Amino acid sequence: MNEEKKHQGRLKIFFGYAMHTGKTYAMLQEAKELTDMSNDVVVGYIENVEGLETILKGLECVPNRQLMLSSPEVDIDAILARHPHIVLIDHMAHTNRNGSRHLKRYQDILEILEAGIDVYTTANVQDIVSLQDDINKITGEHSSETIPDYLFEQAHQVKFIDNEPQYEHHYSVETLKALRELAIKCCAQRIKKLTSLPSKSHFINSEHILVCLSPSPSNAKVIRTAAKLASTYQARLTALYIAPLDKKLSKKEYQYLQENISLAKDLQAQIEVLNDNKVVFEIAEYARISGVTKIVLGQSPTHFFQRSSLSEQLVRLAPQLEIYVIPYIDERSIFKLVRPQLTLNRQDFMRTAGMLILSTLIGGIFYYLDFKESNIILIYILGVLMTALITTRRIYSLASSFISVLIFNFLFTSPRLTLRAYDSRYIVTFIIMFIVAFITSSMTNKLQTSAKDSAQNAYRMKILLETNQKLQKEKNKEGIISVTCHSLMKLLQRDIIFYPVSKNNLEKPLIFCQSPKDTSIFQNEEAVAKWVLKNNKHAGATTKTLSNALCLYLAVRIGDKIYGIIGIYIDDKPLDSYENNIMLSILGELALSLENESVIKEKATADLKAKNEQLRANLLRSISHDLRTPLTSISGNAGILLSTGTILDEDKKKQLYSDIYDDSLWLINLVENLLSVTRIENGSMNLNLKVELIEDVINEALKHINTRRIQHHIQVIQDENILLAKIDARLIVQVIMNILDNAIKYTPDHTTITIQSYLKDKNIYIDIADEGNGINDKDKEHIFDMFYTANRQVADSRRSLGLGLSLCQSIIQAHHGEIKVYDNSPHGTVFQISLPAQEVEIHE
Amino acid sequence: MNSPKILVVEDDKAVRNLIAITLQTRNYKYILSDSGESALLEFASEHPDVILLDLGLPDIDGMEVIQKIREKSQIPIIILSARGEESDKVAALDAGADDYLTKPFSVEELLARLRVALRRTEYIWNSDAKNNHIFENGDLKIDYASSCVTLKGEEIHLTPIEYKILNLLSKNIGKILTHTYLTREIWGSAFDSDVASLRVFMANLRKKIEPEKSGVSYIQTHVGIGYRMVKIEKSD
Repeated sequence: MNEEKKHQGRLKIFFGYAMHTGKTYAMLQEAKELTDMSNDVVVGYIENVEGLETILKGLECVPNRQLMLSSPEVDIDAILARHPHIVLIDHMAHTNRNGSRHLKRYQDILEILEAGIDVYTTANVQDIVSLQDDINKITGEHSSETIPDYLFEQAHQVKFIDNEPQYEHHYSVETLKALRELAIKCCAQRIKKLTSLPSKSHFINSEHILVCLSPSPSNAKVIRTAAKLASTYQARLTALYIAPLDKKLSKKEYQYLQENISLAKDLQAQIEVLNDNKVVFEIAEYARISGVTKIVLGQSPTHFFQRSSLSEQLVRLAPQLEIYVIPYIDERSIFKLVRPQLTLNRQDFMRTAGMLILSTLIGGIFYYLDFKESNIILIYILGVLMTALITTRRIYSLASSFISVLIFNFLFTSPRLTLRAYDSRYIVTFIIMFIVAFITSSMTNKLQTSAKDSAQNAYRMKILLETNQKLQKEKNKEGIISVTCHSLMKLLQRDIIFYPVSKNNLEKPLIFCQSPKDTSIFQNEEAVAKWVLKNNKHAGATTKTLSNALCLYLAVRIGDKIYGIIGIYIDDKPLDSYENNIMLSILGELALSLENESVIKEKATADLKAKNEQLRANLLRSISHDLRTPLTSISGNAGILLSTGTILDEDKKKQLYSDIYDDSLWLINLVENLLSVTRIENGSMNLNLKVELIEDVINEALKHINTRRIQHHIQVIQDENILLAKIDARLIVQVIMNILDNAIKYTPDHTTITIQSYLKDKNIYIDIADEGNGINDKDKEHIFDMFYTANRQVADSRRSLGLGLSLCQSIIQAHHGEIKVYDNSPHGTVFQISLPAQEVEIHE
Repeated sequence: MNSPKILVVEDDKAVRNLIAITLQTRNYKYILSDSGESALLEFASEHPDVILLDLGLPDIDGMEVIQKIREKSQIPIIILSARGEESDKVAALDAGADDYLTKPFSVEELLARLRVALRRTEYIWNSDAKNNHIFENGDLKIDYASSCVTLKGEEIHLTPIEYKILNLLSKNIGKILTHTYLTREIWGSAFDSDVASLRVFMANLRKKIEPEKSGVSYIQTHVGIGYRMVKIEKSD
């Protein structure tokens, strides 16, 4: 199926019509021949080796395992590890032992095929799931070990083994004959389908068959019939289950439903579950929207009290559909129809009785007050109406109206205290009273149901909406995951584990527990999550794979991209269809959000990369210019000293020496700044944060200013308090140095530069004030731009690399601080750095 | 005393020359080495007083050289390293180096560090000989036996942790103690919060032993690296 995507193993089935017809032998023989032609063939599993010892001798068996009796199931991992070209696995319909990885052996085979290993296997015609009804007719037996039809139909090759049974067979000759015919027909149909079935895309314009699921064992036959029909018409098959909102399935019914759903899955039907009470309407709607052409329904013979059958109602609602009705007798369903109406709810019963007594009391008062009888009748009608409102079933209001009529007749009509009525008008009154009661009770009943419907729908919408809103607020992955998992946890009342996935690997899981009790339930199940990631399929509790796990594991994915694996704690309490639906919608939302987030992130990274590239390109361009000037001076001066040093007088030499020294110092400073620039990666600095004393940082910066060579007076005013900040000390030192350098460079000699540090509103401020000419307002706006220098006219001189202040800004911003510039009074400039102060807990 | 002998391990020829000339002008004896292996050989045969060691050597890692030397001797080791290698520096100091010089360094700085290192050798010798209970540095005096600290003869009251810090610094006079080393010694752990506490204690300690008017500073701060106590000549 996915051949274009990755190499898939091919399946070859040795197909027989009964047991002991030599399928396994034929398979082994072929394996032997292939081995002799030096193919890489390995025996994965043979069920019964009796009589096959000789032929097995020449074949390699799966490593490390005796395939006789010690390993009752296929050792998938051993086969995957050995990775032969072809592996032999006997009897594909086998149901694995409890606790195996997969429920069915054919799932093992599928996993091995997925890994690109060819599989040879055996199957009987009895194993094919859609033929179960025919088989039952022929043999009178029911097989529980079946394989889905698509495996047979889509197998790479099917070899029909048409031997006569080797032993005394437990089937009669007639039965064997019928089975053989069926098997041959099966093979013939497969060939026919293969030749006329080029790809799956043909589904789009052709037939679409809908089969309705129900929680009853008789439904299986309906599903199989639908599947057969679908295969004949080469139609798409959808199995629809309408889950009633007001009715909880019993455990038994739930089990039947699950069986039917998994049968439908095996028959390659797409499963849809809708929640509604209006079954017929929903089926018709679904059929209309999804372009269904044929509907297959199961139907038991109608009884006189049923209004009309499902099929009749459907014909009325969707006349364009072809409807196939599969009849069955289902005693259970008849019983079920009557039973719930009869079960009396004690509370409802009390309410009804109470209402009747109340109506009678008021009626009695009216009677003694000599009110007209019609008033009493109205009281009773009101009573019935109230009963309909406060009870859950129609039966109470009907009974109530009937009893009301009786009581009214008994107590208030002459002859009183008898059930006889002299006046024939009363008969009319009774009938009308009954009809009124009937209609009101029906109306209120409907009202109640639809109120419940809409309440549940509203709740679902509310949760989805809330989750959606919360998701939109979250920007990062962790937030998205935590919000979703929390709402799922609240909604399902279950513990949840989430494994984020990055680069196809599970990351450390996040666990969301309702109570902080033990998280141990999720331990030992990482393997299940890994399996889900590898195979992109559900696994764990309530599935057919690794079903011994306590949790159900699902992949949160868009297409083939898996963003995470979510585990939901099941523990024998499976999710009902409503929960399942809402969970799937929420997981869908989650996957979308995660995809969004990763797309945004990728885009941001790309943008940043481009921006950084631009930045570096600019930088390189200006550096090459700015490096050349001092280097020219250094090499030139040194050259003069080397060649003509002897004829220069001492003063001249000293001048040259100090020029070299100054220029090299300038270069050192430049290199320092460049080093810091290279640390700007991915838009943020790679900070080495430590708690530092601001006093130390300022002193360190001052150490680097060569005080002997400058003519400025530098004054430091430190705060009384101990000022601590979490900073990258080297970078902050750099910032202070750059600002000091600028101040020294751009202000006249013999002026004062003041450095003052203080604490205000949980921020540490460092003001560096000079007494120069100040910076005009226009320049202030651009002063932190890269490559901007205040004195444009000297921009071409070598002190022009306008890197310093822009770098300062980047550094301070990376520390979540601010750098500002404003005028000093009476004149000059103040650069103000603010950094968040660190609060310290002293460890004595 | 003979003029001290210094082993210079540096693979860059120009820097090696610069150091050699500097040492020559101050009448230090020196041995030059351009690789880790030869440095270990020279160390074994020549018995130098101080080692100047470049961390980036062509053959073996400078860290390994430090470890091998520390197995045998407490000789002062000064590391030469380039900027931007703070973590290497700290690692080297933790591995047993005494001091570091960041390239590019000035000649004055180099000589100053050498003097500190040599004074440290002297101190180690002296304390070994006398097994001293009294530590004296400038006006500062510590009596280890009674845990009494005095400055110009006046007793200073230190908290237990302040005393512990001072104790560590004084016993390693001339050697840079990294933040990690100090916090481990004091609290047994090296969390960020410990480093923050260390800053506070250190600031308080310095206020007590370095009054502003005196202008003396016993403890040097090496931002991003650690602290060191330096030898101060006695005033008056």
